Amino acid sequence: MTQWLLALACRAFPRDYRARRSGELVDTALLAANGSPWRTTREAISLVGAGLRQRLHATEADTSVQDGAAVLAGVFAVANLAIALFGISLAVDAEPFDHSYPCCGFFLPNPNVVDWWWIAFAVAAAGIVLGLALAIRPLAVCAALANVGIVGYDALLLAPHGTGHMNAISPWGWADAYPLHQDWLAPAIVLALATAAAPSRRRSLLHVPLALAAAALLAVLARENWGHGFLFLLWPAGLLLVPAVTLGWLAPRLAAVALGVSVSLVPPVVGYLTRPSGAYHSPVVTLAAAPGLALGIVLPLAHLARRRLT
Amino acid sequence: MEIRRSTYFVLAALLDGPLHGYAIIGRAAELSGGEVRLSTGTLFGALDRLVESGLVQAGEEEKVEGRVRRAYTLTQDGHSALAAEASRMRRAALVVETRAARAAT
Repeated sequence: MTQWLLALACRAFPRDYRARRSGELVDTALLAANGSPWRTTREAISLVGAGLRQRLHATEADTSVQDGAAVLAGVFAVANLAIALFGISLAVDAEPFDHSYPCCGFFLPNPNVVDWWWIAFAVAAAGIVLGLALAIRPLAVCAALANVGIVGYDALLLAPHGTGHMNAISPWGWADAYPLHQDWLAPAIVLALATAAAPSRRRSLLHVPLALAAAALLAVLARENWGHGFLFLLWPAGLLLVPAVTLGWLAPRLAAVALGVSVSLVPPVVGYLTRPSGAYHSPVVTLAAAPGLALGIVLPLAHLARRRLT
Repeated sequence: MEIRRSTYFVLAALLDGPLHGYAIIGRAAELSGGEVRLSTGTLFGALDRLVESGLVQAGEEEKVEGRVRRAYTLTQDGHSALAAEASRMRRAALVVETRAARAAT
């Protein structure tokens, strides 16, 4: 237990430092603690403090930023696959939806159709997940670039005419849904950049079924959240963002994650803030979203720039 | 260069020869009459700075009785820095002691 606590405290040190010194640190702290719970706590706190100070002076930004890119790529790859599964699932198990129902003087397009776009999107999304999980870098990068092309085609050529595939997320066009229209283009670009920057590291084969299960679960939750799609993801994204932004000065990988998440949230936030004046605007969201997002971009950028300069 | 109190006793602990981390903690406490009780984090922060500035040399990591250890040795620069700090403190103490003695008489 004592050893476990001290080893846990050593997690405060940067990874490279930990790899070189953790054995010596833990053994010295164990001897100094001498089995006393009070001394063990003191040693653990001192290790955390020393680790944080070490992080402040660490010059290993490059590897940590790459680790952040790997986390970002993994999370976004799963979300990307979840959206693809969601689209496919609409045709397999379609919700009762009368697409001929006239709304606002026009007929809504039927979103419950799996066309070539959904198939291509799903193939690219699966390619990214497999490429990342099995450390097949060319597959991951090529699939991520293809993903940008596919999502970009939909966002830039189809969505402006009201025929974008993201309409399937919210057939009634509710502005509270996510992702809508061009919303997923920024995450797709972030995903491609993160995939290209992530180090090629072979992971356990277990990661493939785990990623598929996570994506399927998100797709099911999005179906339950009918009309709002993946809006529920904004809450964990926001919860992730706050510590990532505030602790980014200690860990470059968190700064990289915060930057990626913030950039990907720009389209929905801008969409929300520029909604017609008649639409409902939550005062809290309106006041907090823009400054919060600006902080989420500027602070991590500043942290990463400082790391580069020192 | 002014040396912190805890760093001073880390350097002083190494005067008698190379020591590993825990031995430095014990020796520093002994030399300071129990006033300097270094925690592991403080010790390794100080050792990192001293190694970086060339005052202490870190040996290779070795395993003794199942425990990972590394011996630290005072370098020539370390000896000089410690002697300079001791001299500075002696002069500083002398200023006060001389005036205090004069004031008493």
